[in-house]
Amino acid sequence: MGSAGCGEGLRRLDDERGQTAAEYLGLILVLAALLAAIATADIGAQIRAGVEEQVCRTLSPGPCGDRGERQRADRDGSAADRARSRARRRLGRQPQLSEAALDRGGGSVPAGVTLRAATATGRRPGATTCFASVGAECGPSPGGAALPVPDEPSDLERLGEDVLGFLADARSALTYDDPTREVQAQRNLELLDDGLAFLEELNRQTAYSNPLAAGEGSNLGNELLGISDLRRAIKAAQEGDDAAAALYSAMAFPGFKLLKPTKELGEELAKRGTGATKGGRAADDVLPTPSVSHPKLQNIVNDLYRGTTNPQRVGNGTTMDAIRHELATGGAVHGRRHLEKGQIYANGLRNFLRRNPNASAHDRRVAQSLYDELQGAIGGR
Amino acid sequence: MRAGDVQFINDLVEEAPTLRPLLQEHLEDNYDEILPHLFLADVLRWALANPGDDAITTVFGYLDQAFRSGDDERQELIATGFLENLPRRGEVGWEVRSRLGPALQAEAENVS
Repeated sequence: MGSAGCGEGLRRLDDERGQTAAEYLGLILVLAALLAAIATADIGAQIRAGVEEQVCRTLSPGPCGDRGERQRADRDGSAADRARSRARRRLGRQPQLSEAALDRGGGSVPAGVTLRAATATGRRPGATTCFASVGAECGPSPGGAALPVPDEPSDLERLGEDVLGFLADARSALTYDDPTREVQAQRNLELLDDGLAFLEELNRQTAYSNPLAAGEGSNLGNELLGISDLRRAIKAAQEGDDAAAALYSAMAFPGFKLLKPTKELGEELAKRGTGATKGGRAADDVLPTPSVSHPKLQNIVNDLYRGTTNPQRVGNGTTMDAIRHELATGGAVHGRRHLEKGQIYANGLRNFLRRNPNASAHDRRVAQSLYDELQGAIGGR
Repeated sequence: MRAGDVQFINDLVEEAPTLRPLLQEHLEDNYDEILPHLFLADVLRWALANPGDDAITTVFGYLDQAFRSGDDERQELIATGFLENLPRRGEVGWEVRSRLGPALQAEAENVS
C-alpha cells in the first residue's frame, strides 16, 4: 500500500459511514486477488502501484504519496534493501510488529512463517490452504532439496509483501465491540490470511510451473464468492453507496471483473505448467514432497508423491494429477488407472484426521489439503 | 472399496503371518477398515526395512502369483498400491526389485 493513512482510513470510514470492518476485509481480499492477477499476468508494477494508490486515496483522506520514496528505494537498493524498505514503511504504521515480522514482511517470505502467524490469529480448523500440492509451505522435501529462491523479488513476492500490509491494516481496523460482527470479521480475516498464503505460495508455484495452482486459484475464487459481506459491499456499491462505489470502481479496471482474476491466475499458471511439460523436464523440475512430522502421515504423503520423481511421469506425477489426467482423457497413466487408489488414500487421510486430532496444525493442514485435493481430482476438478 | 481386495489382503497375511502385526496396526489406524492400497504400501516399507526377512520371498511370491492370475482390478491394486512405490535405480533399497517375481518385475518397469 502506498501510505500510512490507509489503516486509519479504514477505521474512519467504518465509523463515519457505518460500513462493517468485515466488508472492507472482504473487499481487500478481492483486491488481493485482483493484484495477484495483475502481477501474474505481468501487466506490471505500474498498474499495480496505480491500483494501490487509488485504493489508498479512496480509503484515506490522508497522504498516499510515498510512492516516490518507494520507487527510489526500488530503483536504488538491493533486493533485500527494497524488501526491508517496504517492510519498514509498514512497520511505521504497525508499531506492534517485531523485527522478526519486519523480516517476514520483506524479501522472500517463507510461506510457513506467515501460516504460523495466521494460526496464531485463530484460523479456522481444517483450513485448506496448505498448498501441499507443491509442498512449499509444508517444509522442505524429505530429500532436503532447497526451494529455489530468486535473486530478485518477483512481482508476486512484492505483491505478497503488499498483501501483508493489507493484512496489517485490516487487523488494525478490526474492532470487536459488536459480538454479532466478530464471527464474520474473523472469518474474513482468516480468508485474508488464506489469500496471503495463496499469494506467497504462487511465488513458489511459478518457480515450478505447477499446473496445480489452477486448482488453488479456483478454490480461492470460490471462497471469495462465498463472502456474504463482500456481496453486500458490492450491492452497496451498485446501489450508490459512495465509499463502496469508490472502492469498487478503483478495483474495476477495464478487462477485470471481481472474482474472475483469481481463476484467470490459475489458468495462467496452468498454461505455464503445460508449457513446461511440452518443453521437457529439467532435472530440478520436480514437485517437492511435503514434509510432515507424523511418520504415518509422511508415508501417505510420500506414496501420493512417489511419481513426482519418475522421469516418465504424467503431469506432475502425483496420484492426484494421475487421476485428473485419466478422467480428462479417459486413458490411464503407465497403463494403470488411479481412481480407486485415490479414493482409498482419501479414506486414509480422513482416518488420519479423525484419529489424530492433536496432530500438529501443520500436519493436519497437509492432510486436509491432500484430502481436499484428492476429492477434487476424483470429482473432476 | 472392493470386497475382493479386502479378502486378498487377508489371504496375503494368512500366507505370511509375519505381516499380522502390520495389519493389526493398519486396522487400528483405520477404524477396523482395510485400505488395500495403503496396506500394500506398508508391506513394501516393511520389506525395505527388513531386507533379511525370509518372509519377503513368500510375500513377493504371493503377490506375483496374484498378479498373474488376477483380473484387471487385482492387477491395478498391486501395480498402484505396491509396484509404484518401489525404489528406482539409484535409490535406497533399489535391490529389492531383484527379488520380485517375473510378472511383477515386468510390470514394475511399466509403472515405476
